[in-house]
Formats: sequence, structure tokens, C-alpha cells
Amino acid sequence: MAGRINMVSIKQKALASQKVIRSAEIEAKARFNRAKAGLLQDFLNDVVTNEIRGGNKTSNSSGTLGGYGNLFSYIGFYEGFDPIAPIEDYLRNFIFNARVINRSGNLTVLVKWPTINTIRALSSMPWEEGNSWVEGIEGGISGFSNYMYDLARGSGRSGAAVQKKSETGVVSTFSTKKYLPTMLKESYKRFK
Amino acid sequence: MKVQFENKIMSSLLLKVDNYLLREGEAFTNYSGLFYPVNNLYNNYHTYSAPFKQFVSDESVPNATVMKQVYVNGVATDVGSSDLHGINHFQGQVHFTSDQSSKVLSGNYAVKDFNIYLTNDPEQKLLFETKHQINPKHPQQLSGLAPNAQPFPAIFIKNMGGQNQPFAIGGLDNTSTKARLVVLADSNYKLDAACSLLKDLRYHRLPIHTDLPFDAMGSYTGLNYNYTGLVPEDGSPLIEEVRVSKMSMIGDFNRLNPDVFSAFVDLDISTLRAH
Repeated sequence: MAGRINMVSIKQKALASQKVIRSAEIEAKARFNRAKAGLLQDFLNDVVTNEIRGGNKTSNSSGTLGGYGNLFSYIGFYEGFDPIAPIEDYLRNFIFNARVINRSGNLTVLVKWPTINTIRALSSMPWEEGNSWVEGIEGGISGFSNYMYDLARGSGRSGAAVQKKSETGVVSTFSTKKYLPTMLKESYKRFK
Repeated sequence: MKVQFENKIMSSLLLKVDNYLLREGEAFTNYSGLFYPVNNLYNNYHTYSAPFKQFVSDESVPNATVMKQVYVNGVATDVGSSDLHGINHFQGQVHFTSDQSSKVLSGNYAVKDFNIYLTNDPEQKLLFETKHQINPKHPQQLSGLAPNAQPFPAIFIKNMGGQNQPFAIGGLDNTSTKARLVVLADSNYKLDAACSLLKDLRYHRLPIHTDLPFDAMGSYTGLNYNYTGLVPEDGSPLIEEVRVSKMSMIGDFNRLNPDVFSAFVDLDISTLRAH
């Protein structure tokens, strides 16, 4: 006796089963953890991160200031403050949060990913609280914060700061560099 | 060199900010007052200045008195007649082709609550190293403002750079322009009001205007300026992001300008263009 197999119905039922949904979640979580670890590693190993973490005595290893001074004092952070810590905490503690959707025979896993909006809020510049230093690394940072840093230290326009004249009389300026916003986009692409 | 895109966008931003503050914020005060002789800026022209600058020149601002006549010894004189060459609203000046120093010159005008300037000066120079002269509270002064004076409350517009990023096949780029508005106010109330208005510019279009009805000196010579009536060039940029940073913590360092309340308003402007 001949019969017909309804493959669509079988697929729909299989995709609706808890086992399949659970497997999809496990696979997504594994990918998420790999991508998150990669992002965190990229961020913590980046030359900009290391330079900022080095405080106001380190050299401009990122080259963003033409080799003069360092990013910590150029951005104007207060001595003893670790600007990397809040972002590291956010990325490290970002938990896997997924929703599995079964729609017309396709299983979609929606996973939350760290956002630039949150990072922006965690990286306010000390003298320009509306701006994010993380975005500033990619988009540009004016010398104003550096000036304020000098003023706050009572060291006039130079001291440990950056915007001072080189021996040839050329004032160093800020050069942008790809940083966390780009890392976020790239890791998201890899994760997808 | 020909006018380039960056030139156009910065001057158009000045017009947009000016119009927005005046129209939405009613940021002006109508006055009547005298004009006083100042150093002549141009050969064969005699310049007379009010104690204020800048005047409103935009016809689209409701209730603002746009000065189009000068009273010479009490007689209303139109531009083009009786040696009156033009009215420079931006500078608060009138230009005559003959000496008028023996006559009494006066006019009715609206003074902006915030003057608008384009600048290349570093922020610290504007905030700390320049002694700003406040626009007077009343018109009974004995002299006109010097031509190079930049009284505050004021907004200084500064180009902070930008970049081109590929947007679509065929050579279409997304040109990102960053602009910083350094707002200097004489009270916290005015500073908050200006910042509030400027914050609302997010997702506003920024029409590009290059054809203004002023002469080479920047003077009104009989052609009205109406911002909303200007025909923009194709392809309006979009103000994508507005960020406000109030300088509330710099009081201790406010060496030269203890009564200046300041803020930065940073704009990210996006324009899709082929070049």
C-alpha cells in the first residue's frame, strides 16, 4: 500500500522538539564563547589598550601621537584610574542570552552581543563627558582634554602631556587607529 | 581655489544653527540704537557700528526686526539711497560712501542672543586664552564695537575633520564630517537652553546653501535673506549624532573668563556623495 511522506510536517515537528532547540542553543553558545574570547583577547592585547593601561608614564607605543607623550595623559585621565577596567568587565561578564525562533521550517537563534552604545557609556572622556574615548581612538580626539590634564596637574601646557613641541618645532597631533568599534563589528561578523 | 565640499558644509552649518536658534529658540532681542564711527574697513567706504553684534538678517525669523533702513538725522534711508551702501548684519555695521560723522545715525534691529562664528582656534584658546567681551545689556553705549570684536554669548563652529567610507557600488561614498560647536554663554540658563536646542538637531537635514544675497562685504544691499526660502543644492547631509559635553568642572581653571558658561556640542554629519 503506497503512502505519502509529508517531509514539511516532519521537519516542523523535528525543529519544534526540545532536543533540537537545546542542540541549537548549545552550538550557538559554543560559537558565542569563542567569539567573545576572541574579542576580549583582541581588546586586551591591542597596543592602544596596553598603552592606556600603562598610565601616564608609558610611551606612545600606539603611534597615535607621533611618538610623543602617551594616550593616558592626552585623553586626560586622572592618575590611578583604569579606563580599561569597566570595558573589560562588561565584555568579560557579558552573558550568553539567546532566543530560538522556529519560523516556517527554519530555526533562527537570536543572540545578544555587546553593543557600542554600552561601551560608549562606559568610556566617557574625563573632560568631555559627552564623548567616548573608545570612539575617539577611531574618530579623532582634540587636544582639549590634554590641555585640561596639564592644567589640572598644574604643569602648564607641557609636563607629561603630549601636545608639546618636538625638537623640530612640530606640534604632535592625534592620528586615528582602528580599535574596539571595529573589533566589535568584525567579531560580530565572525560570530554570524 | 574653488569652493569645496568642506567649505560648503561648514558655512551651511553656520546658517542652519543660526536659523534654528533664532526660529525655534526665539534667541534674539529687538533694539533701537545709535551707530558710531569706527575704523574704516574698506577703501572709499565709511563704516559705522552699533554697540552690538550680530544682528538678525533672516526674514524667516518671526517677530525679529530685520534692519533694512538707517535713520540719518531721523530720516529713514533705504539702502542704495543717500550714500547708504549696505547694512552688515553679521558685524552690526552700516557702510556709507560718504562721511556721515556729523549726522546722527540710528536703526531698529534684532540682536542675536548667541553670535555664531566659524573658527579654527583650539578650544582652550576660546575658553581660556581669549578675553571675551559680552554683548551689552542695553544700547546706551558711547561707542560702536570694534570690527574685530567677537562678543559673547557666542557659538564657535569648528571643523574637526572626517573621512570618506565606501557606501555603494558606482563610487558613492559616505562622507562623514565632524563639527564641534563651542558654546559660550553668560548664564547657565542660556547655556542649557542653547544645548537643549542643539541636541534636538539630531536627524535634521543640513541643506547646502552657497548662493546668499549679500555682497562681497557681507552686507545687505536690498536683496532679502530668508533661510527657509533658499533653494539648497542637491543631496542634503544628515546630522546623525549630537553629543553635548558641559564644561561644568572647569570653574577652577576659568582664569580669564570667570563668567563664561561653556559646553561642547559635537555633531557627526553624514553625506552620501559621488566625487
